[in-house]
Amino acid sequence: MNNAPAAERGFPKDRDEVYRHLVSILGKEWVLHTPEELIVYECDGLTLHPRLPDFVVFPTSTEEVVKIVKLAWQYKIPFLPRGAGTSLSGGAIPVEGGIVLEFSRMNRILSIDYENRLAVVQPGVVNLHVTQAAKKKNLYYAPDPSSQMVSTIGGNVAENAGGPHTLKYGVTTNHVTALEVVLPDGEVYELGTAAGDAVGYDLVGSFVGSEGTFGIVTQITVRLLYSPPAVKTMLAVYDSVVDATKTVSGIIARGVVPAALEMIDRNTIQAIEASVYATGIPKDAEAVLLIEIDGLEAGIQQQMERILEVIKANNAREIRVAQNETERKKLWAARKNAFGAYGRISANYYTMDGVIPRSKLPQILQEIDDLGRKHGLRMANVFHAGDGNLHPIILYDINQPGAKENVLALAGEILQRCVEVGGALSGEHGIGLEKQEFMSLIFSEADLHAMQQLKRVFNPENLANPSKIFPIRRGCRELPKNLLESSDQKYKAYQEIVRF
Amino acid sequence: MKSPTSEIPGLLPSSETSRFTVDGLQPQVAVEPKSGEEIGDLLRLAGSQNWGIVPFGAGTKQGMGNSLRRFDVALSLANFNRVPEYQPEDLVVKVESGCRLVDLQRTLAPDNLFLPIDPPYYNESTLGGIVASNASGPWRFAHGTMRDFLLGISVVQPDGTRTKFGARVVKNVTGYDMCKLYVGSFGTLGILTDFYFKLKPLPPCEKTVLVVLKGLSEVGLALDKLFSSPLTPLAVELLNPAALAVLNQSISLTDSKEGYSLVVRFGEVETAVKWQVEQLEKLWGPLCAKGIILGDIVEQNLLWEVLREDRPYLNGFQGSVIKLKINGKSNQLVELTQRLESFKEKMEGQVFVKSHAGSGVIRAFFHFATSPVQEQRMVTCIQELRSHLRSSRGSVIVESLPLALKEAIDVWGYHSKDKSLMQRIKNEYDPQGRLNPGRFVV
Ligand SMILES: Cc1cc2nc3c(=O)[nH]c(=O)nc-3n(C[C@H](O)[C@H](O)[C@H](O)COP(=O)(O)OP(=O)(O)OC[C@H]3O[C@@H](n4cnc5c(N)ncnc54)[C@H](O)[C@@H]3O)c2cc1C
Repeated sequence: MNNAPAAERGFPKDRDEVYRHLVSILGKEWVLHTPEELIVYECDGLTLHPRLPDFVVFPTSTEEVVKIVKLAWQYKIPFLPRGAGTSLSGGAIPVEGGIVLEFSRMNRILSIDYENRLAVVQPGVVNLHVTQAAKKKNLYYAPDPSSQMVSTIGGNVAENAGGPHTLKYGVTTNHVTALEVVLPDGEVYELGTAAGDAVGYDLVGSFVGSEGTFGIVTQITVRLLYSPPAVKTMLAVYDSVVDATKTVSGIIARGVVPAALEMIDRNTIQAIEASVYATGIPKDAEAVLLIEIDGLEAGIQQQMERILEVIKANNAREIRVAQNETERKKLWAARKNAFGAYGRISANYYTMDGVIPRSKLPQILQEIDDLGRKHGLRMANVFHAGDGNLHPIILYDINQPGAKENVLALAGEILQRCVEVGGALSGEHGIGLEKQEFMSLIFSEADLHAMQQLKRVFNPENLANPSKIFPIRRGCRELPKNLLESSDQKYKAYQEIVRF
Repeated sequence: MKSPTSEIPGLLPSSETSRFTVDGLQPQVAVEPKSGEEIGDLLRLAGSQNWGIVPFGAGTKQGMGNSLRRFDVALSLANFNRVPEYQPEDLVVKVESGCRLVDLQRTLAPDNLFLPIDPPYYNESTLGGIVASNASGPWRFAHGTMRDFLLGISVVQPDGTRTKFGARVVKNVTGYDMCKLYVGSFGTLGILTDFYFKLKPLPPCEKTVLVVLKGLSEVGLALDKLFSSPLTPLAVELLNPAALAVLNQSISLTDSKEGYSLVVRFGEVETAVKWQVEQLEKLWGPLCAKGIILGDIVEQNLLWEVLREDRPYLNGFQGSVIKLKINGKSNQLVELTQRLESFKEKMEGQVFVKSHAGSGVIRAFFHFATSPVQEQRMVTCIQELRSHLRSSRGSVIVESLPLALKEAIDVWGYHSKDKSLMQRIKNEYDPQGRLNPGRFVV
């Protein structure tokens, strides 16, 4: 496979020529090319490793995407699609420069088929907008990443996004039936079908979660669900993390599948309570569980009683049940604003995404705490407990000498433990740039090779989002040095630009 | 075959090979390897000898697919029949591919858990076969299909390398979602040796409602009402009059000889089930000629077995049988059922239609007198149906048919542009086309 970085493939030698072509496709106004304009696109939600693209372009149709991609193919320029840029794994960072295709102008919901409960959308549609559009017939789009107010369906498909309610309803891949894609050679394909099962290999299933490395999704058909008529939300406060995690496994083991089962740890509680989002959770609590069940009015009480039994049996010190929608929103506010609140207690924070078998929660949470202490770093954790999907947050100050190295070393040790107990590196944020060097913790050379074979089918010249997912320095288990350096000359030249 | 067979790991005595007949073809040898290593050795040997290999579970779906181009080795996974890891508290299980679905369900039942997949041949099928053929049944309405439950997989690649993807966690985006690639791949990309599955709790209470409706327009109305209500059934099946008659022969629930039947299953906490049954009575009462509510679990299971299985609609008839799986949009159900029944006149036979309503999947069984003319008519009907479905990206898979007809019709009938990508996938993983040669879409 052609893994050579773009610079070695003759770019940006033809930069001016490419610029002229792009302008002729989209018009001047929709092709960004000066460092001042490009700076916004140097990173996504992962801010540790910024890189500038050469161009950012804003297509409005599949035809325009085809033209841009064919140009990239002709000049062998790397390219990558970008939605809202909220990826936390560096999926939307143009590591090798090249063209970024931004999808804010392809943001239309093309059709909603109420009878078959389907929506056909463009990739730039914001997740929440699908639900808003389907609401009048009581339908909604189930996958609900916490970023759903901004993140796009294209980005969700690429990352196979999850969310609090995926415990009961599944992640993005369980709700996508068909895709229109533009492959790096500029060919357009329809994959999958909204009519029963697709024939042949599951190309949609293979494409979802490919993190922009297979090509560009230009149209998505998603399934809509009927909104459950009854919802109950409760919050349980604990004096011990072990009791809280035992509640989680207790609920799962009793065969109750809540719609959401989220955990908030002490550091997060303190951050929230010290912020404008304060909800009155006792500041000395060790852990809080936010539990939501949904379904029919007729069965919800019975479900709730079973859950309350488990909560009580595990020594919860306080239980709050939302009595109405306002109270429900208030309980969720604590969970949803956690990230905003960290900003108050720490200059920088780094969000991780390891996933473990749920029964290992008590053990791993303790170990993460110990590892943080060993590295002298404060940690917080707010996560999808019901799925075993952790979000350890490392709080740090980038201006401290050696901070970045220390953070990455801690992150590596945490991931190692997740894998050792039978878990994996990422539950929903993807591998991207962030975790590529850790892939060999979980996969053998042969496994990685088989994955790369699939990539070669779609992206044979390695132009779509190159240098992601796979380890660059093969077999190496030490600190991912490529993430520590900003060795790119071009990038250094732009260091003086003011970032805001 | 050229090579001395003594090198082959897990070789079965030649008296056993007849068990592994596919479409009248017998393999040269049958093997029953004991480990992934042995499968790897076998595949490497096969590579050097240019053998064609057919992986075997219970063999219940070996009639599916186009004719094999080559069949040298039958690779039985009978030794891969264990449940090596099971964490009830995690709702995750690891199972080997030769394990039968029923055996797995028996392991899970004491913990009130199950794998919510109910394909035909439920009692015989192995998990390997079910994954490879993406088999499904009535439960798909509420639970989905294999792709929604497979969390991890071990695959011996066609070149003999052993690989693993996914993990024993319920949510995972570590690298590409390779599990999806193998679901429904019909043993053409590698030998699947074990799986991690996500499990679900058994419903604490179940009830089934069966109604008989006069005609298809009532069926359409009834389904509209159901699907625009908040009810959350586990399964919704539609039977045409012929299929209903078969059901009545097996378990006499109704004496109706006429009419279409909708069968709905609810499973949840008791209060929710009770309420839903009441609601359904209200919704459908005015439309129904007849309605029955089943609460007894043994009775329900018997009923769902007849609904789920192919056998009652395949066996015990004179002449030839063709079984189709039709994929359409869920609102095409009534129209497609009508169309399928109209084939009856064209080819002087019987048509049994049972559908997973709301999922867009229809299963139709045709019985007709064996004759070249009739067979040709059947081929024409299938072609017509395919072109009718093309615009909605629907499809018709011929799942079972008289052997002679396999030459006359491509059982997959798939010609969309993305077939070239499927071809590229096949060439990438199995460039010499050793696994199930000629049988699948590509
Ligand atoms: C506060 C916060 C909370 C979050 N919560 C969650 C959560 O609960 N669950 C979760 O799963 N994630 C979460 N995320 C991560 C992120 O929001 C998701 O990964 C989301 O799916 C990214 O969407 P985006 O539109 O921002 O995509 P981008 O960040 O712009 O891109 C992400 C990846 O998708 C690719 N891509 C974008 N568009 C296309 C396209 N049209 N075709 C092909 N590839 C494309 C890009 O190349 C890139 O690799 C959160 C992030 C933040 C900042």
